[in-house]
Amino acid sequence: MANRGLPVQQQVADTCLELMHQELVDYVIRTHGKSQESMYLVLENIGFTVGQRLIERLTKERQKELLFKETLDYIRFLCKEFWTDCFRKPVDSLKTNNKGLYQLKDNAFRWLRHIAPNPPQAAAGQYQRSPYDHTIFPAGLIRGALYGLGIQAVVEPVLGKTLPECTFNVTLKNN
Amino acid sequence: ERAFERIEKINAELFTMTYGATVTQFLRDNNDDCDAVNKLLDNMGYNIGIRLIDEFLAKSGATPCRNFQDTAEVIAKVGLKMFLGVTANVASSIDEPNVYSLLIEENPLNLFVELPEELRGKLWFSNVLAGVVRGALEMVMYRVESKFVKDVLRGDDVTEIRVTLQELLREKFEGDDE
Repeated sequence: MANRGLPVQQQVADTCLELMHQELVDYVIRTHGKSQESMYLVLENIGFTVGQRLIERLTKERQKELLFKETLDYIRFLCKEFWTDCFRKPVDSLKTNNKGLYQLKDNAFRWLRHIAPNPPQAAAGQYQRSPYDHTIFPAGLIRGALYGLGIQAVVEPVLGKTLPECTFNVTLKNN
Repeated sequence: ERAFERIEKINAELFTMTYGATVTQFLRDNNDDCDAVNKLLDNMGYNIGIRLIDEFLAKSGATPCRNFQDTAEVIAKVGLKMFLGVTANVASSIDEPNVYSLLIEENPLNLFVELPEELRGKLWFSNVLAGVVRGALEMVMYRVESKFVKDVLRGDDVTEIRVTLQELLREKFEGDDE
């Protein structure tokens, strides 16, 4: 079911994207790394734009199927279809408090697989890197996708105890 | 072909869009200075290339190249296929054994792209590819200059990367081993 319907020429090697994402994070650290806040803002924004555009393409052919009533169904769609398209596997567990908080847990988050859990100590005045840097773009991606589905939310990544485990907390806005 | 089947793949649109967003960010950070962005993209490609070659050597099953011209065929038919799912044609001439061109007909990076008028003629949108080729070849001891000379996004009929061999690198062994 991973790539249902997608013709082969519309696929590329996963490595390309993974390396590109690492380069992107690297670039943003180099250019905006003075403040973590502005750096994360840039990365999150890029992710958001991509997520929004991507979900538009993904849902185009499936408009009928996607007439869900419940927000939960949309979140499920995100966990399965969207996630598989982007990260080659569905989310491992989905929890909700039924008050607008959803926890999407991925036991082996794709883009953290090759990231060192403990980056070397940065020189004085330099940005201290962290695996967390690599979760900002995906968080934006998810927020963008939800936005495209008509759901406004805040997405906050939380690194798991052991990498590459990672949880994304999705909190709905005014709902 | 087989290498591409074996490798783990994802939705090309995500890749294309992420790349597009990256280029946009580069342009924004550099006030649309295309020269600077071309350089950044090339550099990004280089960094990717020097790591991508590992996966290529491990999984492609390509036979070793005997000379520089061989690398053209391998990049065009195996490398591009394996990573981007497309192939390229090679143009070279016997008079110039140290130069070849990769002619790419379908470039997945271009998928949703149309360059605005003011950037056309200045920006090499897919310049990352040139960097990847340069980085990857350097790891197999060919120092090359690799650059775009044509791009369909600029209205050319084909996308062309010209690769020029500059130096054959030799392994250097230092130290006083006996």
